[in-house]
Amino acid sequence: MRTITVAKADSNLPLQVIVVGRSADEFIAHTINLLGDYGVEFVLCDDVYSAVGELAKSESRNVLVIGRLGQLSKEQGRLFHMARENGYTCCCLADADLVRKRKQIFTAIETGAFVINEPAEIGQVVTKLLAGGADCPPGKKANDRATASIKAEFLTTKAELDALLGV
Amino acid sequence: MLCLGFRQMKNYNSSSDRETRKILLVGDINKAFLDAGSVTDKHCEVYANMLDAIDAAAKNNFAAIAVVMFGISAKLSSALKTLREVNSEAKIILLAQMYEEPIAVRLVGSAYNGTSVADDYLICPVQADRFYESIMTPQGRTAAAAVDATVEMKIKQLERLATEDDLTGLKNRRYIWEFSRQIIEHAGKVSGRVTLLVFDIDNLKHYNDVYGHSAGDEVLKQAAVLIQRCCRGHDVVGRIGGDEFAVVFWDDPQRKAPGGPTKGAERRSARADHPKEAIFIAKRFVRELEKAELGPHFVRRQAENMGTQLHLLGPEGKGVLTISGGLASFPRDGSTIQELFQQADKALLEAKRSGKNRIYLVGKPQSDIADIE
Repeated sequence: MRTITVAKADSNLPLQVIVVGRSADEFIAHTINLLGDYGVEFVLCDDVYSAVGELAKSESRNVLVIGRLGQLSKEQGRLFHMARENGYTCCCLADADLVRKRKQIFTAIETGAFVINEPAEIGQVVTKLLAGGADCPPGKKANDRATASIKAEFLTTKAELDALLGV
Repeated sequence: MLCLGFRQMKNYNSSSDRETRKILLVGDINKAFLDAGSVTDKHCEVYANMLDAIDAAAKNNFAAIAVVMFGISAKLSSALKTLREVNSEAKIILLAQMYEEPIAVRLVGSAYNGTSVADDYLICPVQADRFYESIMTPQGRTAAAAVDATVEMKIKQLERLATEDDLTGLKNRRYIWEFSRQIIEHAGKVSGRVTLLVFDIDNLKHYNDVYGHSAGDEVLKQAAVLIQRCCRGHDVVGRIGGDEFAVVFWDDPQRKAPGGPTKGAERRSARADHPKEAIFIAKRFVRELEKAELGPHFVRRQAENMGTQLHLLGPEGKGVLTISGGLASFPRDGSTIQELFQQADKALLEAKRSGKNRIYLVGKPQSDIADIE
């Protein structure tokens, strides 16, 4: 596991952040910059495996895991379920190939993850969590965590699927 | 029990290790053990999902971590690195299907932070007892070091005896059969394809009768060298009877072969009606046989020694060594190893009845591969 700790540590900040992905990735780079601006300590993990290794070591329950949907939903989306079971928060970017990834998106939403569809939206999530705004615990009011556009898209998709299946 | 690729495991320093530390098993254990039911005893924790296993490995001090590669080999390297990171003391053992052995070897050999991502591998299916025995031997490493080398050598000898043909050094019938069974099962899951070539040397009995059995053996050895030279690295070649050989050609659409076609191209070719690569390789083998140096050298040597007129081999000996064979493909010609062998055998028989020196592709009608573009 190649884990890099970047940015300044501030023990007063209760939120522990794990960013999953390569720093060359535009979204990851944006997230790293943002966290740096906020002065939030975070750990950068290459993939979901090292992220889980990092989570297992963590004693905090106030953890935010950020990454692309494709990365976080590996291994049948188990990370999302683990996050719900342990009270962690996940935030994933789903910005491409939404129809093909609908199953992963549903899993993320159902387990209480934030699902965003623009890299810039990560700022809102972090701000909300830093302000103690993670007021909907994982698994509760889960759909509120998906941004409006994602929700609209998937409600439509779900409705279309239901219609096709004659449900 | 078929336990191949086994290498002597590192031993633990005390019997207390054996008693107190558990083994973490990851993946589909039914694919790894002959007696998967007996694996789930108090010394073992089993997780089907790799992320759960990593979580458990980080929170517990396992003696060993065994990872069933079946179905997860494509993304295994990253996961193994994490397992190593979170539980650096545990020995990591891969449980590989026969066709996954090259990947297992690569993973065992690949370094991460100065150590390999996996310590060793076992070829499945293994028996649970044997598995435990191999990782939990309560001997000190230093004391056992001298014994280890001898034991390891003997184990390697046994492995060879169990899986290889003595004469040619090719895989034996048992290996071919088990490998084919595993690869067909895997191909069924990933829409891969498997093609089986069964062939024998034409008139080998005549070689034996005229020049003696040592000459016949030489022919078999030379044929073995040639066929191996013609095949791709991952194809499996074996001698399955007196003068009968088998080659298992396989392609996994989920895996890109080194230097091979792209994933997309593999997928497209996997859907092709004919087993093109296998036909191409079989044709190449026939061509190589025709121009093989085996004839003249071998014949002259035999003639000088024995003063025999070698009419059968012709004036120069070239081109006299011929084969007859049958090619059958999964899933087109059969869905089990039995069906595939049966079909290939039938085609081989037909090739012999039609005058030998040809390879028939199973189908309706059966076709000589020489006629296939």
